[in-house]
Amino acid sequence: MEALQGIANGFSVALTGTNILMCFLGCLLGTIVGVLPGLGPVGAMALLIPSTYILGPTSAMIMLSGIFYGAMYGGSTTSILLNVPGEAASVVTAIDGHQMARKGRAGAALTVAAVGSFVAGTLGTVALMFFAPPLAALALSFGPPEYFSLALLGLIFLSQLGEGSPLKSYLMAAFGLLLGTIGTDLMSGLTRFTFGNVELSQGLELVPVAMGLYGIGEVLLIAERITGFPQIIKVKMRELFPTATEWRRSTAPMVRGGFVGFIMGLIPGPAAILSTFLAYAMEKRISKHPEEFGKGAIEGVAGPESANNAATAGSMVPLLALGIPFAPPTAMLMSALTIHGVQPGPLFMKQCPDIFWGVIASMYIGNVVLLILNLPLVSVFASIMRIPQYLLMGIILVLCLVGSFSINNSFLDVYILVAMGLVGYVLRKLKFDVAPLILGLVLGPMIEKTFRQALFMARGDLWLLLQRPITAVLLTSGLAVILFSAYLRRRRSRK
Amino acid sequence: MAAGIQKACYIIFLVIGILYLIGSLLLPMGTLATPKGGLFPLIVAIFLVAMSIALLAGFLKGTRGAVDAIEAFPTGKDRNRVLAVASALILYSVFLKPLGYLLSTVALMGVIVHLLGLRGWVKVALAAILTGVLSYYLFAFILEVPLPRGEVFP
Repeated sequence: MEALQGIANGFSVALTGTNILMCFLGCLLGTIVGVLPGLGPVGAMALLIPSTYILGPTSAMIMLSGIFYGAMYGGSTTSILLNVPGEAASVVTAIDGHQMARKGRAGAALTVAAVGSFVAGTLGTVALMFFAPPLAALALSFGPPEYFSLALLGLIFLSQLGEGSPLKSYLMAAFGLLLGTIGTDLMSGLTRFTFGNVELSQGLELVPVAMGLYGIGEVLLIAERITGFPQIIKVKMRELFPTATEWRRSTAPMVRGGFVGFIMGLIPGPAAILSTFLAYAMEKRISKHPEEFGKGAIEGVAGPESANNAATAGSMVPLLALGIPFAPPTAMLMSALTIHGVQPGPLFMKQCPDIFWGVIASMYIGNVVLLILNLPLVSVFASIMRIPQYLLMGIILVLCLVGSFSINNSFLDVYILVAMGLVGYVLRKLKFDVAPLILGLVLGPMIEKTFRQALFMARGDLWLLLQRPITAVLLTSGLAVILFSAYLRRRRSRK
Repeated sequence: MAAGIQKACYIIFLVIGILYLIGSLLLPMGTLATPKGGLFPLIVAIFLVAMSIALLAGFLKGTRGAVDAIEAFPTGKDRNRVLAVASALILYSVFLKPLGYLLSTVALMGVIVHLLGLRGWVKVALAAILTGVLSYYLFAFILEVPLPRGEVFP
């Protein structure tokens, strides 16, 4: 009942002129970002956080969330039409989606991807609406040890399950934590690692770091080779309708993908990406025609595309209910909230019901907007790939530079942006996953604060902390994931 | 070359970790019951050093995970282009304060659009001036973002 009252209030917030416009803008930008390979939703959100200063926190969150879930819709377009995944979460879609396109069924694949995204995105939002309030209520009983172990678990899962070597990811997480300790220690007022620089005493801003790693890093990667315009498979309006058989074969995968995606979204780690692989494997396993997978099976498009959209809704649960982001896109959302003077956490729903329910309501609206945007305008979005790179990269650079400077009107942020851009380029070439760095920077201060509070509470007795059931379960889960992954790797290397 | 850069990268992280470890030891540590500002950085530093050593040792032994299939760094003209873009960005960050947003952004855009494939000086100049002026107008006047006006031509 509370959820229904809340969502009614949410719609009254989300359906105002400004918020509808922001929702539309977020979805549009998200789709564009999803279509373009490289920048991704994290980079785009980092680019646009400074431009939300003129908005209220609700409108800012509505727009930024729109970019997050909108990118999942857009990612499928280039995966299907060009075999170039715009987003890491659309890599799996390219396997069967592009094969369908080569067989002349691009329109059907795009429609199934868009409808699946809509169905799963909406189902995910319904689940978010009912999951988040009880979780927030439960989290009110959490103390510093629980928050410490939850945040640590998020970092472990992301490092362990992310792209590439876990060792490298842990190194990135440690580096992120290191960056998070720069500035004033909030518990004692001690300045640390600032080298006497007054501006550094406020700590490192997430936005220039993320813009550098993702935005400037991408510009440098693009500068490596100047490419011509790609050949895009054209899709006509009448080709967008799947056949009755294609509809029948994709309905159940959409629902299953939505379920898998939402559950994965609740778990710390790169949920959107992992959920697509899981949904694909599941569809292949239960299909009556597994041999068709990889050759244009529509289930291979419907399942993963639904999963990544539901995962975005799922990953909003820990952010909105606990105030803990488990992945870089939600870390950006948390950073935006903090910049707007709003502290997310279990009391967030009670203290800021307009933002909490307004964002959830806007996700329903956003999913409808995205369905309308993505189907008839699919060829328009695909043609974004034809914008000259020099123009696109020039615009990204300007947004990065202005965005970084405008946070504190500080030249230091511009230096940090450029330095992180160069670091990000080298790290990406060396196959380091920078996501744990971002999460380490965001979660670092919280991990430190709760760790020290927990030690105070337990009077230094770590064993006492483990006697708290939730803390024990969370820390044991983290340890189990590390050990199990190490075991699997060892077994694989022996083979 | 990429393998050398990979090794250098692990060494740099190790050096950063050691320096950070020394820095954290200089901070008040407190006790486990009353932890102070140095304790958490110390733990992070130990973790960072341990990860760097593990990766470096793995690299020297040729273990998977430390020696991954990494992307080759560009060579020849492509490398020069990346270095030129990187240099332009560094110079931009240096000259932003004295020259201000408008002049430095027009100069940067000119270099970037040319490096990324726009040919013909008139087109390059036009693209650079338009990007610089339009972005200045958009941010400074419409969005009211205070942009640096420069010290040379305030």
